[in-house]
Amino acid sequence: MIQTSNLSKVFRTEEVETLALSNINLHIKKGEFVAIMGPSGCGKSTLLNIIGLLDNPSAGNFRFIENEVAHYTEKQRTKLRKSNIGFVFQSFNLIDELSVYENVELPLVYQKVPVSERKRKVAEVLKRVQLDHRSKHFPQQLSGGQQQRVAIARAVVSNPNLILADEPTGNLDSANGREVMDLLSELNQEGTTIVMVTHSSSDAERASRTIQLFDGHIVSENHKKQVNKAVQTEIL
Amino acid sequence: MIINNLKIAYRNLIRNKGYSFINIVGLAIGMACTILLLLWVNHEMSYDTFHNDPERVYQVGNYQTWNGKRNAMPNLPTPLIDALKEKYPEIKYATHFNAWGENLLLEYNGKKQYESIKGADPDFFKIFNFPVLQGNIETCLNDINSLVLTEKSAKRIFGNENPIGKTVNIDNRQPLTVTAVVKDIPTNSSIRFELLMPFELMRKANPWSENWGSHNYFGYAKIAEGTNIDVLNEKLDQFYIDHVDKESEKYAFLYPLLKRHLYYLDNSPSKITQVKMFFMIAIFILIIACFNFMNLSTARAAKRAKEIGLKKAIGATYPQLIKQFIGESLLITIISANFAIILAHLFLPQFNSLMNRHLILDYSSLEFWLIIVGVTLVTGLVAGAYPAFYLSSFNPIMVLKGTFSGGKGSNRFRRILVVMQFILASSLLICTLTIVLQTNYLTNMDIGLNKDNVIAININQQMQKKIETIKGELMRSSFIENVSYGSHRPYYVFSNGWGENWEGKDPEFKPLITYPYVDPEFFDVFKVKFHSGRPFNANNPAADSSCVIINETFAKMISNELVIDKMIHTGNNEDLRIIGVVKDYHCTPNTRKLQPFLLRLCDDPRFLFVRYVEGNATKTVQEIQKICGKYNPEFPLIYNFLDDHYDNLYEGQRATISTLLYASILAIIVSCLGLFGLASFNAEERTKEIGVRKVLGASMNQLILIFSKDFSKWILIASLISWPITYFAMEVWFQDYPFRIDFPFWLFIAVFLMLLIISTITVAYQSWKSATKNPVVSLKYE
Repeated sequence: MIQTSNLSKVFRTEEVETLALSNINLHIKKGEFVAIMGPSGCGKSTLLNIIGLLDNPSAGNFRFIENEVAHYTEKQRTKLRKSNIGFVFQSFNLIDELSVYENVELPLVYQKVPVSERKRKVAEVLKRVQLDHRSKHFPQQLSGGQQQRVAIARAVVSNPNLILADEPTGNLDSANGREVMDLLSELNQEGTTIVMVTHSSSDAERASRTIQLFDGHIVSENHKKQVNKAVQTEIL
Repeated sequence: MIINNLKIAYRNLIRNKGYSFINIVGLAIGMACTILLLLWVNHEMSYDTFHNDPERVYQVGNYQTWNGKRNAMPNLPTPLIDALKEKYPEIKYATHFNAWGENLLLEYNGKKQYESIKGADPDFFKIFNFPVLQGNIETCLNDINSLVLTEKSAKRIFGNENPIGKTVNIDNRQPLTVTAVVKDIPTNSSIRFELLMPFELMRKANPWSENWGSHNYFGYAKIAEGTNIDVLNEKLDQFYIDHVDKESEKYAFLYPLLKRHLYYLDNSPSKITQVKMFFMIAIFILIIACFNFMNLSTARAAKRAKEIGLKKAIGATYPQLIKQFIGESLLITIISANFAIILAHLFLPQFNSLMNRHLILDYSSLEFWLIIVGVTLVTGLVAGAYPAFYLSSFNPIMVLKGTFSGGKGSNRFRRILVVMQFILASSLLICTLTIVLQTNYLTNMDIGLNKDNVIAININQQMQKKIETIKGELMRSSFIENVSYGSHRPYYVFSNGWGENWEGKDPEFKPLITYPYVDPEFFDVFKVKFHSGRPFNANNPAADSSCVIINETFAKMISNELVIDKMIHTGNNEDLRIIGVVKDYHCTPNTRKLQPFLLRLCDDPRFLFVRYVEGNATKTVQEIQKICGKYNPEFPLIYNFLDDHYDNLYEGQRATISTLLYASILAIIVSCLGLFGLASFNAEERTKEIGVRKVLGASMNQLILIFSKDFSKWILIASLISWPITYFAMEVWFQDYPFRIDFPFWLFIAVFLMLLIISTITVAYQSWKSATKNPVVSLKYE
């Protein structure tokens, strides 16, 4: 699903040039659950942004579901992103002025999904994250865990092939964090590919593979035996 | 402490260049506009204040009764002034003051020029103070052949010669000798002259004016110190009854000169309406500019929160912080005031030509600095107060812990301010455009007579004698259609009375009838249509000398049936037969009602009207010059095109309109500056939201729409509020116009759309900028 070769990213300001990623070679298969770990500033989020088609690499190749996207324009990236990727952020990034329902509905609005179908899909996914009774609430009226569940609901409502989670439990207490991780695991079980950046090794435990980044390089890759069915089929 | 605060204020100014620029430019434009308007207001309010004891100077008025109502008139019977001075010791000085003529031919050393000359009694300079440059001001009007000049007219007539003792000749018959030169009349004087001669001479030339029934001249008086004007006015009310005629329905009174420029003689508002209007606009624009400042400073609050929190934590008190922020706003206002003075200075010439004034920024005058310091202080305090209290009230613990979400709390307040700004801008624009439409309607209205392609020539005594010959010769020209003469320009007749009587008239009903005097060709030259009857007999006018033609309005007063051949008995004991009724036309400017009028044959023509074949204006003027020059060689020809003259009647209104238009445009510019600042703040505040939406796949157009939708909502609310306000305000304004347009409701939508487009363009840049920002940046560091 995702294949990078010699991927690099350089950030330039007027005075400084920072190498955020250097020669990253990564292959993520459909249905995998990959955790990316590493100290602050090692390039985790940069990698996630590139995988999430929010940013272009400075050099190297990047194939995303059979497309070479390294030099895609913003418009092309947006188009591909809309229908294939869902995002979960550490700080939830819900829009305060919109209700739970409206927040979850938003990706479908931008995909021009008809209203009746939107209603059905949002109801379905809210039920799934057990927040159907909160659909009229606004983000500030919810607990952190609930907010992150809304964010996950928003990420999966359009049925994406890939979910990118940037420290999804970073702002949550352990109970709420566990709930969120359960939800992500569940989604993965059902076949959604997940790439997650995390500082928490217990969260990383849930992944089928952990990638360690340091100063923009991949320093180790650690496979777990337990692989979900979808991956097995792909391997077979 | 102060230095520290100044440093912070200065660094804030420099660091936030964009905001500082918007603040300073907005305030400077607003203040410049306010300074200019207040300068004008101050000038209008200062009329006639420069005389000694101006509060003791009065214009003499005369109530005349018609339709059972007292009407305040400025024109008096000539003997009234002398009688008042003689009978009432409270009246210390009194003078006539009137034009002898507008276009009198003055000749000196063979050089001839037209001058307008006024006449006054020797008391004139005891009532009014015009500093004398040469001659003796006490005695300069004593001699019947004396002439007083102003600096300007002396220069015009005598160049560098010393004018004192020199003799000029007026209209080839009257010699006058210069006895004094005074300084030019200040612009804020309602008493104006350039050449002044003794009134005595006018009196001698017009002995008919010495009767109590003829009202011709203006008069002024100065009352003795300590006189109670109310008591004196009560006595004057009895003057005619006591001294002239027991049955008289006329009453003399005194009206304060100080109010005269702003009010009519009956104390109804004249210029004061415009003064109030412009004063309000000045305040409006300043308020809009202040709102900008308040908006932007509170919007920036989050950025200042840390500074405030820290200062509070280390012991700054609430009042200290308030002082700091008020000081900051004063600093910005003072900087803006400097730019405002520069702007005012730059635009003063345009403003002057617009308002037809000669205002100056008099840096040495106390009043000027009072206006500047006043405007600066008020702006600084008004604009700075709310932000100061708001910023100083931050909770330091929240701020320092980083849980403070600055700015949001005052969001609603800012929206209200923006809405209020646009209410003002929208109201101003709707009112202005309504006034524009009404004025266009009045200028382009069919007034019932055709004034295009007509030249009006002023007739003097010499031409009067040869009028039929001149007329005949002009008519022979192939490009002249027809020629007529008369007493007045037909749409500008201010000669009237109320002595008419007719069969079946209610004796209590005394309508004011206008009297234009015309010749038989009048109806053809001005294409006046007849309702019934016939025009005057062109072949034998003498046969119609006791006949009149009236208009429909007058005819309806007489009878609902045919009025032809009915008789009208005039105040001068003449019996006149009605031979025709013309369709109504406007014999006075169409800002007034249709007047009843009575056309008679003219034996004292003042104007010659030449209708030429279209496209032959130049040739016609040459022909007129040739023919009139033959019969009137000493006097250069004075003529103008009637449509130009008519157009000029609306000059004053046009000046008001232009000022209003400029004010509206400025109000919109300043509002949009604020909107721009607020949009950029808003874009900043919504960076996260925009980022999220972008990640979720929103296109740029969708993002820009989100911003515009918000601002459009404010504009819509502002418009909705401004509509009823402007509707009622304009309906009150329309009450003064008997001929008016229907209220232009479509303006509501037009102005709304216009503001919407302007504001969309204003916020477009900010929305575009934030919509094209890389969302990663905004989401990563949340």
